[in-house]
Amino acid sequence: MMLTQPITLVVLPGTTPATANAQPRSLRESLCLPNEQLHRGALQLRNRYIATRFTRFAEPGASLSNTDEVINWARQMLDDEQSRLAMELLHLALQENPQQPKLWLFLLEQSFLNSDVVQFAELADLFLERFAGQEIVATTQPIIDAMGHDMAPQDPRYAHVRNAGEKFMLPNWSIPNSLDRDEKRQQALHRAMVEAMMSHVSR
Amino acid sequence: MEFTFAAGSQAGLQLTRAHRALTDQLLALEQHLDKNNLGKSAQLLLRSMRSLEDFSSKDREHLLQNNLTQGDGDTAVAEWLATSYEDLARLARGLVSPPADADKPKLSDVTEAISLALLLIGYSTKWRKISGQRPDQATPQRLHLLYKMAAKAKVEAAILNINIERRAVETTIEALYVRALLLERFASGNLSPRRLEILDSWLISWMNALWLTREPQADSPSLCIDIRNEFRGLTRYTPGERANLFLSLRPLQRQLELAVDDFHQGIIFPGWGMGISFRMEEHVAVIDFLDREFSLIANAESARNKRFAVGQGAEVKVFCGFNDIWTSALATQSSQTQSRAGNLVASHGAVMSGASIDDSPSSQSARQASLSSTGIFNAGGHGTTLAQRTPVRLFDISDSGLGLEMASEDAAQVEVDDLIAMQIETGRPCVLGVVVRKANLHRQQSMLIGVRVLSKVPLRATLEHVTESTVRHTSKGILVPGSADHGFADSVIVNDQTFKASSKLSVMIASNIFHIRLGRARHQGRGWKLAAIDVGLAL
Repeated sequence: MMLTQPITLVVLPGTTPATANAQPRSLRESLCLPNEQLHRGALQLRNRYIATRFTRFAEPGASLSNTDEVINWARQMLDDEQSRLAMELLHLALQENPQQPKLWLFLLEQSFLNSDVVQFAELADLFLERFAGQEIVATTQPIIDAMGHDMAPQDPRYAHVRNAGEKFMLPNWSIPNSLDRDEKRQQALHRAMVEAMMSHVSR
Repeated sequence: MEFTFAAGSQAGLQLTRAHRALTDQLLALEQHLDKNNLGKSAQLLLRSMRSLEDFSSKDREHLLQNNLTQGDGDTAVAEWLATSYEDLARLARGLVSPPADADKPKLSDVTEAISLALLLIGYSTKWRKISGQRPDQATPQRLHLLYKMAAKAKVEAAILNINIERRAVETTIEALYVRALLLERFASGNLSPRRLEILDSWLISWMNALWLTREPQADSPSLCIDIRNEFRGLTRYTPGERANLFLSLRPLQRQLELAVDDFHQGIIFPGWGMGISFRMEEHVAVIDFLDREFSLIANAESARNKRFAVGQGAEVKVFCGFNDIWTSALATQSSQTQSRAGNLVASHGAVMSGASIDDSPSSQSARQASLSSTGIFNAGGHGTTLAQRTPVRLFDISDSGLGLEMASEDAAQVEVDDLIAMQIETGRPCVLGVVVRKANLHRQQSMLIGVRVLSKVPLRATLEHVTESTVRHTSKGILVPGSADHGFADSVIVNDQTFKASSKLSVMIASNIFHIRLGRARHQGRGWKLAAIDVGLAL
């Protein structure tokens, strides 16, 4: 068999590959993927991916709009130390149907817990923009602002927050209402396990 | 001179005369390489590599599509591929060590030869693994040497355009070095050939993120390299570790996010290569694998995640099945701290005697001691018992998983999703895992058992059912702590009956008694379930 094309190996000047700083799409872009714009083949592949990665959502189009189901499963993933998977599920669900305010709030709370100031601010802007004038904004904006102020006290967006400096209660937007949890006891059990483990590691 | 090869016969995969002819030509190639003309020799090697790729394209496709479900012919061809890449890599390495009296080569020729050697070492690492051979222990040393040469010539960061799978890829020597080291690190027994192929195409697409720094990044977990250590490649960095080059995890995580984003848009990342025709499950499994590996790297500072300090080929004790692991492997790994354990047995004598727990620690130790120091122990839990056979050896190991080399007769009784415990380091706790993969090894009589590690320090526990009944009832449990401090990731392994009973349980951990309930099953296999522990529901 003869070679059909030349082999190239070229040394170029410079030391920085042009594509080195490729960044993921912005939050605005990645949360608002218009499904209609995907052609049929791509949509099929996307659905196959979702059904494989999240086996509970075999019919992504419909089931990812079931807010309570998505929240329950995302919570389980967080508990299972699969936070990246949980965030991915929430993003996919919002791409399918962005009119799910509870999912936005779930993401906001997680950004706050992860101290991700940039993502929090971006999410807050998108949430307030999408649900402007709706009751959900009236009830949640004071909490969002307080969280923002707690993370970034110098940020002018949160300068108006009253009672600044006071410790506020976490709204538990990422915990389903139905869930019976006792965080202190669960932590105590974990600490005991770690103590028992360490006694074997160090023996 | 230029070598060209006839395409091989592809039916059922057999080593043909054409394969052997190509081997002969590769061996003869050495005589035609002129170390005084590095550029020309490197071009000759490049053309030979390309010819090898073209010739073996259908072989590789067959082997990967069929996940090496081998006949002997498949195995022979896979081994032949690994050897061919090794031969080419050896020749390329030879080129970059010119004789003392040779003319000083052009810098661009040096760059070309080193990059080719690094690329080929990556391929040979991958194909050794796919063909079921142990990793070559000399690989880190060879890679370090090539990188040092490039650094000395100050060409390690020069940008190259190389042709891989008929695509132009922008890269550097440094990136090729890191890709080969990452393949060496990630190619452990629990990653199947198809997934390894996908992973390699991802690494090639991520070349622009494979950058090394001289200092660890302050705000990002890192992998590190001690370039003077010829036995170690990329390892997790912990402060105080001896290392002089660092690979920040963050750019890799960002690349993984980009890959996932492609899947969200209905694109199979990276959009080229053999992996594109593999089932979606394989791609998702690679995402899961990298997630796990990155998470382990990020938690490197935890003492509980201390890396294994053994090398491949070491003999390990293996225990299979829930009952035998509870009884034998974890005989001395109780959830109760040592100082209290004796008192507890005494004070709970009535509980122990009236329960279904029948193995006292002393009888377990005696039983364990009566067994030889190697091989598989009793595989209780499925109602079968394995006689002890040949020693089980560590095939390879990473942070999240490992491969065991097991006699085929023994391996026949181990299934995917079985629980398995291993004493990898003498005097250290038994490690608990789940079998995720079985594959033939290149030697006829042995198999590779791929294991995903569940816990490096699982804890044996006695679970007491809290009921109104005056008769106390206990069950066996194996505690599998999660790494998160919140505790919601903690789990317990129980048998099916205990899981089904769904009663409130009490368990002593360290010196405290907890009431718990079993939550959802996070994983399951024959006769066992890994259940979430829930204290909230137990109240």
